[in-house]
Amino acid sequence: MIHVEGLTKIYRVHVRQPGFVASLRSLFHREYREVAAVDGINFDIPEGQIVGFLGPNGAGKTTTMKLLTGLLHPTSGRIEVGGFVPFRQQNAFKKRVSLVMGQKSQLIWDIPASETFLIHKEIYEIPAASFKERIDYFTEMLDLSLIIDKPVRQLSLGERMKCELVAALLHRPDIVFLDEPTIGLDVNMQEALRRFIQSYNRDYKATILLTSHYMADVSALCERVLVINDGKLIYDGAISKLIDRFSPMKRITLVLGAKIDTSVVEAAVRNGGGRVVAYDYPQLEVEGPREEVTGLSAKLLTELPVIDLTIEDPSLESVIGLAYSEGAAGESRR
Amino acid sequence: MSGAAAFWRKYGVLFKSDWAIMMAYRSETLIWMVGAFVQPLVSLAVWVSLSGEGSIAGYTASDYVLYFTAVLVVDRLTRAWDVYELDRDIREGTFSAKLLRPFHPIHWSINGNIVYKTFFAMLMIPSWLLLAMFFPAMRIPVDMGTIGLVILAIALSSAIRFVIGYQFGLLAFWSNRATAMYALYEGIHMFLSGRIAPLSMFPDWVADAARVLPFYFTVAFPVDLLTGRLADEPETVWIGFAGQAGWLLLLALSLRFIWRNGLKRYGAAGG
Ligand SMILES: Nc1ncnc2c1ncn2[C@@H]1O[C@H](COP(=O)(O)OP(=O)(O)OP(=O)(O)O)[C@@H](O)[C@H]1O
Ligand SMILES: [Mg+2]
Repeated sequence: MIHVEGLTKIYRVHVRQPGFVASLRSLFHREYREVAAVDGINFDIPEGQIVGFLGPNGAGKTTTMKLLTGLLHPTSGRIEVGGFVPFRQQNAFKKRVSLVMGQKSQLIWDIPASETFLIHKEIYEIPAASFKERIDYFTEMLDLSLIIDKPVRQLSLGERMKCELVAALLHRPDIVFLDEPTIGLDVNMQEALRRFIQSYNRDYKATILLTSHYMADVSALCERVLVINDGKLIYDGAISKLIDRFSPMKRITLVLGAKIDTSVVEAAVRNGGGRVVAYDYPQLEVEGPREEVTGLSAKLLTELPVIDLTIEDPSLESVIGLAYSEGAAGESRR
Repeated sequence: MSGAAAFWRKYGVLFKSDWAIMMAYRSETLIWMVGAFVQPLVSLAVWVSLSGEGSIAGYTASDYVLYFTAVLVVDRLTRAWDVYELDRDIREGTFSAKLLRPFHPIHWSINGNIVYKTFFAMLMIPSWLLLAMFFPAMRIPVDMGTIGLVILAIALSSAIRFVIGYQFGLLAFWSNRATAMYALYEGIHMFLSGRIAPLSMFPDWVADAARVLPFYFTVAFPVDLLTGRLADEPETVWIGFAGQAGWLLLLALSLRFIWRNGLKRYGAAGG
């Protein structure tokens, strides 16, 4: 459904020198700096998949989404979305895609959201019956009845985001780009939007690319993630494998039944191939390579008076943190 | 639904929403409309007092009253202001929302022009008729056939000025000085379109240049038609319409060119 090959976007940024003389000179001679916001990325997304698009601030996520929706012209590379070349801006393409930006509104501020919906009804040529049915669906799913007739400028952020989603999905696009749709929303609202996105994907087999800095969004919605750093794709695969790839360690938490000397504990852990993270009787935290974690726990169980033992993966947040810094390190080595 | 019907329904719904927004800001709209009266009225006062009992360049005091009333109405009904909004939308990235929808952004601007101009016409034309009852100088000395031509000339001029303004706005794809360049153009327009004084008062070569360039066609031509100056010159009338049509075509072609090339440079800022 989405095919991206060697995609590159270089922004030419005008360098401003401070000072009056310099600003006069820049009237005639301008200096430019080039920023590769997206740098030769490749990926494919099949129909109906929800893919998480992760990366630190400034990594190039939003730029990629703007390229995929045809707002930006690629510097080089190939993009195909639903069989279209986005930057050709064909109406048939625009009727099949949608871009929601948490930071930017597509609603008209001076009038109620319901009137923007009416404009979309005509612009996207939605038959009256389907329009009514869809509005009912959205009103029910997102609990809109009290907000769609208020002028948009009077809505709270969360209320406005719900309306943004409706405006973006009213024409029932089968390819949807969501750029931080849950930014700034409270936990319940995030949860509500997540449920909504999930059911939209299920009900209409929509292909969705989603960015978010909240790992809860990603782990709830996406099986697959793309990680971008500094314009380059550093990971493409299952979210579960992300943990293997960037965090080879697992964490074992034990509760000891008797106070054992620190040196003894450390020796036992080291023998099993692990490392003590913290020991504060009765709690002991140990970290070990994931392939040796079974052996390590067995060893600890025999050598120490263990009452309780749990093995956990590190949190997605900490794995992502590692991925971002590893990507950046890889960058500076080059 | 046929293609054409669907197209007009789009305009219909945009008209309704823009009209509602304009009405919500009606006092601002009125101030804005009246603000544009200042320059023609000042010019009028100057020329009336200069001409005194006699006439200058073929215009008596009473001719000036009619001339500048016509200028005021024609200018208000044909002037475009899209450059400011377009420049801001392009530089700040708010243009993206319009670009994402399957209806060319230019239609939103055209619709905005129709809405405001309808509103202005609804206020200005009855006011003129009312004033003409009391001030004979303001009465229009032409027949209904000519009024029909005037409406056509105003429509064509409106389109020309819109396309010019829109292109200046699109310069924001390349430069952050689009509005400054437009201000410069408007300054020249003020003199060469007949807004500050009838073109017959300028040296011949200036008046000739204004007649070759689009300036004459945008204000002076409809004004001359409306004030009966062209009553005995059917040839000038046809040249006027040909000039309007020719410039509109040329400008539409360059608009297409600028649009295609500009879009490639769009930065879609924000987000
Ligand atoms: N219009 C623009 N002109 C010049 N540079 C830009 C422009 N837009 C983005 N950039 C630069 O391109 C890079 C990528 O920006 P982008 O907005 O794609 O990041 P992002 O991954 O969406 O970040 P965030 O998580 O903060 O939203 C940044 O270095 C940014 O400064
Ligand atoms: Mg972003």
